[in-house]
Amino acid sequence: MEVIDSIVQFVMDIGGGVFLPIIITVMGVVFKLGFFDSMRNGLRVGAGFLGINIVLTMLVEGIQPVINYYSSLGDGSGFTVVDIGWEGMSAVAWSTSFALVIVPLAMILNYLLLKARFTKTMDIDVWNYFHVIIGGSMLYYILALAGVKTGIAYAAGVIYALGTFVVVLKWADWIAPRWQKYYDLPGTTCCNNDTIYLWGINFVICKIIEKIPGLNKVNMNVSWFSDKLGALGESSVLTFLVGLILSVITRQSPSNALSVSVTLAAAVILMPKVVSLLMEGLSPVSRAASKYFKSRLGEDYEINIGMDEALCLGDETGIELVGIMIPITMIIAFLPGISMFPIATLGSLIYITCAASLFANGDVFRNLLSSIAIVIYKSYINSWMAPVATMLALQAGYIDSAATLVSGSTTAEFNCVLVGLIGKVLHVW
Amino acid sequence: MRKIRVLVACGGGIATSTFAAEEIKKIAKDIDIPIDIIKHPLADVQAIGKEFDVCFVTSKYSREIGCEVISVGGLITGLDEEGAIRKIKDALSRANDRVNHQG
Repeated sequence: MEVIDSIVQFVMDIGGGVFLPIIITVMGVVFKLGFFDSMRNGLRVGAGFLGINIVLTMLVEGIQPVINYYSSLGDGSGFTVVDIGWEGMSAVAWSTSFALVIVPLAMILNYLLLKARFTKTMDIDVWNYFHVIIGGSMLYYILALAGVKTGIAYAAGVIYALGTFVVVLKWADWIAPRWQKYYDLPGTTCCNNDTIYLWGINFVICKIIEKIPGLNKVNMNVSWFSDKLGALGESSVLTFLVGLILSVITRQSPSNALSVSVTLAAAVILMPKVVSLLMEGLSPVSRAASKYFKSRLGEDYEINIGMDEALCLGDETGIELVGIMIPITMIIAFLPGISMFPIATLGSLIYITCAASLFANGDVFRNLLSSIAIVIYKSYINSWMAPVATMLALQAGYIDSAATLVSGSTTAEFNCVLVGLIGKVLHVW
Repeated sequence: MRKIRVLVACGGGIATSTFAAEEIKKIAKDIDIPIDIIKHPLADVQAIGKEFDVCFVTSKYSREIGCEVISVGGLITGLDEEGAIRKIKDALSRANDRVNHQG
């Protein structure tokens, strides 16, 4: 036990930022991608880590004047949490050593469950394994803080992540027929953790609307809105404007306001560039791995290829609603008790609106109400989970101190919320 | 002879589009068409589409954006990957003809 504890501690100390490049190289060699190509992939992942580190620091420091304003109010109100989005949360997850344990185990587990005909979903979207990794690593830190021995806490984290993985596979099985029919995507399904709350809320809202006479007949058209805002264009411009709005609310000097706004916009432009380095390094390996498992499985199995929401993002209603959801999301942030102003969230609204078409059957009104409900849920949970997300980011080495709280959309997923509740029960936070 | 400007878009312009972009780069190299490839979130496409010669999306997409839009979901899922690769080759060739061989 002592030995295991110290090995685990050693790995945690060095961090996945160093280990993952090595593992990517080794996995590449295993899947016959050639040593130097694999090493290049590994180093890209390493570069991605360092890049994300820099951009996150920039984002957190850039928005500091706004946070400072709210801290100086001293009553805990206002926006004290920086929204680092799923981009930031994914980077945190990938840099924990859990990534290297859970990815191969989850792949093998998926293969075995297909073989046993327990599931029909083959989750080839290795990138998005970070959703289960993050829950597992959160549990580890929570348990470690509660005084559980390192080795046991680590094992619990891994098992928890794999359990989450299985739940999502079954969920993807269940949603597959409807997903394939509505989005016209035969042979596929969607297996992201976030779809559980997205479609759960979507389902409930649509059921309620159907029950209310009058409301179930509302027909609405918002295309004029999206046409207007579509011209407003890129996420960078939008983020700049958001920066200005935040600066005005928090009474910044003109020079501060401009620096906050430009820094935020720059972070939003830079973030995809550095995160995609991670992805570039990862994709050849995940591709080779899924081909390998598919060929080993043979033709005899009915398989749905599991991906994230990327496949459904062309949904007409969803695209149309992004424009109007941007101001609505910003207004929601002012509800009492919400401490995270949506920055990264605005860029990912399209995931919500396109997914919410599933149970709305493409109906604009039902989709809009569902999207609003989802954003409200997410805003509250993201705010509430901020201390846990911050602790994780701190442990993973992405931020230098817990003085500024960070959070991101991933924390609203069931596996993270559950860990948050466990932490509350154990009085860790 | 100028390079073909290629836009690749998925939800966040990060994960899935990177995956697709890597494959599209390989395909372009195979058929010897020089390209400049840029990734963006799908939400940006409408605003910037006109700056490109061709746009590949990983989902379905039916809006008018000022350049040809091709769905290449098959590249991601591996379902009818051959079909997706053929579509990409055709689209790149068409764009190349438009840009470099006109008159």
